[in-house]
Amino acid sequence: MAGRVDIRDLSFGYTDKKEDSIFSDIHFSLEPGEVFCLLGPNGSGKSTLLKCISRVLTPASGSVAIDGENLNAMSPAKIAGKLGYVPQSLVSAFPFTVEEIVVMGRASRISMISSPSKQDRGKALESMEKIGIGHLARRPCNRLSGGEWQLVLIARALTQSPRILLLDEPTSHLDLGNQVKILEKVGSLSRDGITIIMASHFPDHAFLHADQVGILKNRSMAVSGKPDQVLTEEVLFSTYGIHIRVIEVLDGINRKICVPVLKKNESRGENP
Amino acid sequence: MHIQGRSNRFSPETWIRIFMVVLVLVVLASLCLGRVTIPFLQTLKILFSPVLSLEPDWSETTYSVVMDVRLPRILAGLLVGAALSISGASFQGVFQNPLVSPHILGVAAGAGFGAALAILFFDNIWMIHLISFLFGLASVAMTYALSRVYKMTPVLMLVLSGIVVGSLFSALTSLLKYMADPMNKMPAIVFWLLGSLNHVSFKNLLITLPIFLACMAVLLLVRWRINLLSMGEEDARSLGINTEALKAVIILSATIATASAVCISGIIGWIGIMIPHIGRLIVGPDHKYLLPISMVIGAAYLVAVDTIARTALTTEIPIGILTAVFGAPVFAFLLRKSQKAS
Amino acid sequence: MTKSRILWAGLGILAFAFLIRVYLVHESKQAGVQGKTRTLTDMKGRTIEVTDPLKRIALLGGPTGQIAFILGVQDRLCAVTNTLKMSTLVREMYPRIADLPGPRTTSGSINIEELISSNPDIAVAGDIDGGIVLEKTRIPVAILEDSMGEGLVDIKKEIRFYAYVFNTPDRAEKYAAFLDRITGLVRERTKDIPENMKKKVFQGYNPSHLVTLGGDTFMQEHIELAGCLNAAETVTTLGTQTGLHSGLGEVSMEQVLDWNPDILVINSGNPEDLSEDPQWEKIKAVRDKQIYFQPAGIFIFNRPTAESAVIFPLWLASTAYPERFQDLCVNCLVKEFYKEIIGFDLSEAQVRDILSGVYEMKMMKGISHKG
Repeated sequence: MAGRVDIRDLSFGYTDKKEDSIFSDIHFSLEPGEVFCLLGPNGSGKSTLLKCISRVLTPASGSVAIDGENLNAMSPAKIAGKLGYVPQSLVSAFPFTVEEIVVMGRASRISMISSPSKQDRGKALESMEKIGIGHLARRPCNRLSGGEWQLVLIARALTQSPRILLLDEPTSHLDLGNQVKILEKVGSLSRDGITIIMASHFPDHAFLHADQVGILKNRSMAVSGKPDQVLTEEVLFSTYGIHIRVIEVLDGINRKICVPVLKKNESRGENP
Repeated sequence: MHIQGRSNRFSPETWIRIFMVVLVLVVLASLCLGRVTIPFLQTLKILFSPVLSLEPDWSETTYSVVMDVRLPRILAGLLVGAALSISGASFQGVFQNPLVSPHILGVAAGAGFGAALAILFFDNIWMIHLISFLFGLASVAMTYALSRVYKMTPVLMLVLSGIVVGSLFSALTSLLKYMADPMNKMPAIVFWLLGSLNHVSFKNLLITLPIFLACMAVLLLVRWRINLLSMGEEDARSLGINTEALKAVIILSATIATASAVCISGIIGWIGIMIPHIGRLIVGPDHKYLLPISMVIGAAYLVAVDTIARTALTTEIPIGILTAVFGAPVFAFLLRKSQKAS
Repeated sequence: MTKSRILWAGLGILAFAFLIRVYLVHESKQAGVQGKTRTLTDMKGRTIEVTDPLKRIALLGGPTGQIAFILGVQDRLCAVTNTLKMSTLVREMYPRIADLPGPRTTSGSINIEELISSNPDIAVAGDIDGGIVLEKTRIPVAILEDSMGEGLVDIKKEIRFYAYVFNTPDRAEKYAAFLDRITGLVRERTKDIPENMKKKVFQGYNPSHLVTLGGDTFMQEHIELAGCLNAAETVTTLGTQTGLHSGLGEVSMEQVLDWNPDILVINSGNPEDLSEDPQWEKIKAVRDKQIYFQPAGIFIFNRPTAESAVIFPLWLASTAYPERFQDLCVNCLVKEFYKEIIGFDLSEAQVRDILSGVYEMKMMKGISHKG
């Protein structure tokens, strides 16, 4: 099966001291094509966890396995061939064109002393079309909007032909329209069979297409499981420290949504 | 579609070919020009006379001027210009900053100190080359060691360490200058600080040629991957690059090339920082094209400037002065232009 | 991709092979002087082969130019040091100098193309310049050994070496005889001056008047010969200080006040400025108005030259102890030297200008500071 993820006892700290541990004993598994939504308050270590899974950072202990193969034993190139990582933000020192950036995704499949072939560039173009940014191919990356940039990075990750895609808060810095576009792309990629782990600030996203959700808090995965079961109002309160109502919306939408409740009166004219 | 910030008239490959033609023309012109101008056809004949048997219609002195004086200098100019430019472009990519020069890791200061030391204690040109080369490498090794954090070498630490090591060797060189020495060695030390292609001989060029070519070849082979390194360490790693290994290979090759250049020609500034900039304006930042075109433009530029250095006045103008005099205003103009564009 | 790499590699190998071939041709051409030849040994013991007779001579080095006149080979010069071209006295007395190329400016600075184009049969130069010419050209080089510490004995040795190279031994002996005669004359007239009556001389060069020649330089012998004392005798200036020619060193005002010289020899500025300067006005030489400009002729005298060896002690002795030289026409002796030895028929005015430092002031700026 292509794209199964097994994470066991994963922990990380910037030093060896216990106080400096970012998280420990992280544990979950994903079937191919599943979507995992990672939630948690600011500073809980979501980005760090994603980086550990993709081995951009080296975990202190634990293992990550893709289709049974442990990433510990893999070279960076081999890992990149299976796993794509889309960072939250990225600044390029030089004004590469979108095309030049997206084709970077082929690095794991190009030998150290070569540069991208016609085929590689073809694949890059394919990814751009798939994401719907083909028209931006020759635009320098310093002239992209936040949303376009995010799409470019996703296209680049796709060029790696990965089985697994990690997305770090792909919708922050985006307006509503772009947010929805990204989320729709995530959904369609999942339907294509790519396993997705997406960190997010919005618990709503878990209800959109996540098969599993996990909340990272206090250095461990406080809860994990199916969103419908796991995301209760109590859990949300203990995670974010505010009242959040979980409401099922029918009328064609047919899913739950999260509504934060403000401390003051909701609207002006009502009785407290 | 029009790409802003770079030339759209020709494709990058075409531009590289154009500049190669320019390079050949510059070399031929430089062979003809000097305090004594030699007719073009005669120059060509002299140039090929070692491999073709031709009836000499030139005097011994003319032959000597072309083959003993100008040819080694032009060759040195090609190698040094190409080496400094490709190293500069590589360092700028690895350090993710277009304002980095090949001397950033302290190699120039170290090589200069080694040369001053050798000039003081030995009289032998080979010792000067060897010791300056070794100290150039040593200074980069010190910079590297100083910047290691958790088994990684973060770019910021490398730059800061380079400043520390460079300053140390500069100070030591100043100390050496104040030590009395029994012979008049002042011109030699001045040459190091201002740079000159006047002190290269055929022999030491032929020996350093393979070193230059090997380093430049290595950089050319991995040049596309510099694109990834320029996006950042973590990003490059996530795309499958073994960043520590690649950085080490690039830094080592670029450093050896720079140290070799410094030890045969002294410290020549502005090439490594300015030429890659010009390259980017022509072909864009893709290192696949940037490195080759920087090499070609750098080689042509240095040979052209050196021709002026040895022709304009009866005395030699130290070439470092000319590269600065031309380089600084051009650079300022480029900066303004890029500011206006963005 | 691979095809183009093979092409590049092939091109590289071709280029490398071409260069090796050029280098081999270059090496093989080093030997081989045409026509009748002669083997010489230079002052460093190297043997060189040159054509015989030497028709085109390049002399590289500040003090070397005048040797051509002393030995009578000036018409055979084909390239000289730039300072010789700039020497006012030489331009006055030998106009041809203006047409000669002057490729060497200072030690280590040679315009090789110009030198090669002048087509010398031989180049005579010091260590550094000689090394450069050897490395870059096929011109036979005779290397001279000279230093700022050499004495009169060494000057004679040098002149004799040049004479050996140019095959003009008689002129060398003529010079040596003249030098001995003047040296003997000066010594005779100053030998009985008691130690405590000897005048203390301080050479104060440069605008600061603080750059001097120490006790380990040639100047020590000159001054002693003239029956004087070198104020800077205890200072060693052989070696190099930044920005100065080797052999020159800068001392502090304190030291000069401590020495309190009787005679001050300067090469820039003027005596009035010194008498108005609060730091200098207390010095005995300034109070007694014993400030003199350093004489200069073909070349400056703060280098060990054949010219200065004859003229300087004579001038210093007759200036310090005029009462001992009253019966002697010093100017006549100087005129005789330039006529008999150098071949310049000088006027009275020119002789006076030499001794009063007028030529020193006219000399190209920068000679006295650097080299």
